[in-house]
Amino acid sequence: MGGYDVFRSQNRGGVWTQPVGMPYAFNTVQENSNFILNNNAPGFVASRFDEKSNERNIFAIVAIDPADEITTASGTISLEDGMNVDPEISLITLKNLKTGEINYCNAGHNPPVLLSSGNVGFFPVEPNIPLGLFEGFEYKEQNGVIPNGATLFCYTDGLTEAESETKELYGEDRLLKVLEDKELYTSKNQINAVYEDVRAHVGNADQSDDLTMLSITVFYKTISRKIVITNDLSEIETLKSTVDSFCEEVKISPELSMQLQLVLEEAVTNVILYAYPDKKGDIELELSQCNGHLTFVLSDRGIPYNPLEKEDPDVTLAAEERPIGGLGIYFIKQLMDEVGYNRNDGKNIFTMKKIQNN
Amino acid sequence: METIIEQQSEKTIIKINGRLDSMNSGDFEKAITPVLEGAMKDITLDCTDFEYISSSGLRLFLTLLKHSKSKGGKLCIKALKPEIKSVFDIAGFTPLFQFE
Repeated sequence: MGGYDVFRSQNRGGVWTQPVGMPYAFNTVQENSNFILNNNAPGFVASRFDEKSNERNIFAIVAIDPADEITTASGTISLEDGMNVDPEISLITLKNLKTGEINYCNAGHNPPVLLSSGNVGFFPVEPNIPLGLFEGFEYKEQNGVIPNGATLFCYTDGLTEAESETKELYGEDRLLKVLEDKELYTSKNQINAVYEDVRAHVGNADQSDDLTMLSITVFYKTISRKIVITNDLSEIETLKSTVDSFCEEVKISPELSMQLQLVLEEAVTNVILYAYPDKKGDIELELSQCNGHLTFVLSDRGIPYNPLEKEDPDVTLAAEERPIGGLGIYFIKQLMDEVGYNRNDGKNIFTMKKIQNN
Repeated sequence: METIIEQQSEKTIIKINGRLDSMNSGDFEKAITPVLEGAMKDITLDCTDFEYISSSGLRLFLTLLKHSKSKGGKLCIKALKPEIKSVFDIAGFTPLFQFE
């Protein structure tokens, strides 16, 4: 795993596919990171598989001054490997992950929405011009800060210009209104909420343009703990003391602490009991907190197993009919705000998220 | 974790102290084996000093309940802390047990 791991999920008929990790992790000097966002690789820093050479190639990641790159690219509209770039392109360079400073340059795109500490508004961008119109056009680069825990919600004009049955555009006001909902604290929830809202607006009208959304939440001041334990139930003691000290450090209420103890015990016990049948194996747990967002990542190199595929138990059955067991995953789903499973690089990676409302 | 079992004239009182998690639920299971093999049907679980439960412990609470019910007896949970009760609520266990 790299300093940055990029995952992709596609919406197929209203259902998001399981996020799939990029084949390569993304490492940069001092963990500074760069993104290209464009319509051809929607919301996804792409890698391409070359069947002839059997090699993978990451071609859409560049670490440069955004304006220079766009200026160079204007008029040519093609990247090194011959892939065509959509004429609309925005480029963001995360300059410093410790302070949230960014350099960015926009080429004819809509301004992203910045969600920070309950405030929602457009992030200031120079419109410049779409890429490829005039050779030698000098694009203006801008500098800014994405505050700790803030989200940058980027989208193509297919969103704000989505037409309803009566040819009304979806519009920027409606987008801001949806994103003002404070319950939408994760990127996934934001994307889903906007998606549902734009669908409701469009109704039965034909889709007027392609539509891409990307929500990036940036955390750069983090408290974290990491433990590596073996698949032995006696390690629950280590887990307990780690969770206790983590909860104390990030000032989690006693009620939530107990819930987190429960959730993590259930998740870790599952892995201890089933990931490595008849052999020893390591289990990694990372607990982190940033700006009220709690994230727990549990990983092992055991047999592939997605706990989320397990069916929920019927909690309405009478005592005699209750099957014994099957409650652990159910607790996790009920008590956490978001859970996800991914199999990557020979690892089971189970992620649990919760907002801390003290 | 500590389990104290006391036989009264008409019922068994099981006092559970501390935490019941996946690490020590095996000990609790051993401790209650005589109760599950015995003839007494009414059980009281004294939770005055009980601090934590996870699914492995709930599983054994359910085993005790099924045992007691199958003999036509009653199982009662005494002095359960509200934060632990909330775990019973999520599991849908609250309607199955009697609380006092």
